[in-house]
Amino acid sequence: MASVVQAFMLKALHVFQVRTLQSLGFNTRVTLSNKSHNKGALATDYRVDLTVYSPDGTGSTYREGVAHLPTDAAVRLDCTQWQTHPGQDQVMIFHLMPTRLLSAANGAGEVDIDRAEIWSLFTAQDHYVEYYRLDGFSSGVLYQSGAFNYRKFSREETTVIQAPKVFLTSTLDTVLSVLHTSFEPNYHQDAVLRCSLLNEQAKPVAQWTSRIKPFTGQLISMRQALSAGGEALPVGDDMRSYTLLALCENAALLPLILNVDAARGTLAVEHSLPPMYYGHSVTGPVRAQMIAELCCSGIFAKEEV
Amino acid sequence: MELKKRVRDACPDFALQAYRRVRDKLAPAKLTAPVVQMYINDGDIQTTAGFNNFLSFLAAGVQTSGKLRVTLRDADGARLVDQTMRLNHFENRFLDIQAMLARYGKQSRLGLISLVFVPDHLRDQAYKRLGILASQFFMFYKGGKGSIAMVHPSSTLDPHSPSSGPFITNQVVDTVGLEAVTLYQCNPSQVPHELTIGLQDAETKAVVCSQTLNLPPLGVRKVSFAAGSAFSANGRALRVFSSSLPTANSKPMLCRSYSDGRFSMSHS
Repeated sequence: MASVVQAFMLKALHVFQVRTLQSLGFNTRVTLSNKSHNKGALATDYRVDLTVYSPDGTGSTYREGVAHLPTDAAVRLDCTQWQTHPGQDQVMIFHLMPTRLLSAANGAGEVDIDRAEIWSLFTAQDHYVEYYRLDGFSSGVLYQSGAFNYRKFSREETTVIQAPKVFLTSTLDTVLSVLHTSFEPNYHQDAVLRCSLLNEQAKPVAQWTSRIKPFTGQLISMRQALSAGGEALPVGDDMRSYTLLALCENAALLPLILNVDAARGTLAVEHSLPPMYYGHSVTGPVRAQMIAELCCSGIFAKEEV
Repeated sequence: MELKKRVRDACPDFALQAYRRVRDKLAPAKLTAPVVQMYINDGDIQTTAGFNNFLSFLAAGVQTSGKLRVTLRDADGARLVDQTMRLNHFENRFLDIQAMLARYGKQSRLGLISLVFVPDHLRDQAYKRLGILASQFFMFYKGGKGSIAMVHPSSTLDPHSPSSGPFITNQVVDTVGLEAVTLYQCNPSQVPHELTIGLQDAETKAVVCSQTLNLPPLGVRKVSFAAGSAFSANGRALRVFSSSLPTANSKPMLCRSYSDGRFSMSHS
């Protein structure tokens, strides 16, 4: 049955959200793909627009038409050209604007659109972000990222992370990257992310709360979290492994796990797996119950006020 | 089948509903087939698999303990290690593949690891409301010169998973500074699978280099394409392609090797 969403922001219909990684010495490049040709009548070219946020998230610039993306094609874009604060990380949102809908948008850039069409275009492909050095070394990951914290896109405004992928040596760190964005007008709340780092025996070796300002990307070092928790840091090539668990009850965040060897200039990037990958029905009320039980589990420290 | 239908037709609705309630209550939670990914243990690269008791996380209201079954196979699909270990509530395990193989007196440079976690109380309603359960994990690869990679599994050992058609990755390989591109391809199915895998020009889609692989059931193959001979490291962008995938989403892993000895790797 058709389910038309009224006044949906066209620039929120199909987005790819990335962060730059200048603070770790990497430049950023994206490859946007268009596989809408697999969706029959929904096939469309895209005009690619771009929002670049200041490092503190309080300012932004919007660029119209930074690229054209035809059907069954890809476009590779170097983000370095749009960075405005050398050495600092910035959030960038690529807006894939269906060209066949541009003329249908009202003065506010909104269209009435079937929900199935939104999901069909958004899920037709993933996109690629890569972080590279000038010597050629590059590491990246494919993922999809919707218009988080925009109720016309999704009412799910929580985040859960389970990541058995924290590896530390004297030179190796694991860093949680979280992006916090929204498409709601006048959005200004901080996201409150409660984190717990567990050893193999389920003992929390560090518990903390991070507040993430809107329209920013935060890097959370597990090495620093461990140190702040009073744990001794690994020395030499002795590798320690931990599981990171995290919960945010007031915002949908975009998490990536970065394994970084700063001394050697190497990087591994991987997205997390949402709960539905573990339990196929963990959505809606089942997800809400999961979060309610996690809150009472004692695995996270009580939220700091 | 006919008898079943006749019994169903003969039963009053209230009796059928009562039967179904009891049946659903007694039925165990459903698990996917073991989740699978490739390990590398070739002297240059070592692998660690990270697994957490995900049911503690998804259903924290109940104390979940259970058994984690780990199976290692070699590149031809032969079973080398089959180990079961207990996991208590919120516990996790980091499985050093090299150490596991050594403990069992086995040697293998490349192969499959598969994991499945079975909770002690599989009929607990707390698990059944989660739907079909998949024992996801993450693979950490570590090599020389500080090279590291993190890759999640893409497929399971489901014997009914159908092969899929041509695959082209959405990621682009920049050839600047590259010494080689190495692809790791697994076959999680129970039958042999032949495919042609390689690199194509990202823009023109012309095939640049390729190799046909005959993958045994549950086997793994590695193919390397050297810069200079297989492709030109002139800055032209490439994409990985495959003529087919042995099962749903069993995509190759893509390793970029650089001339200074470092590598990066991801799912394609």
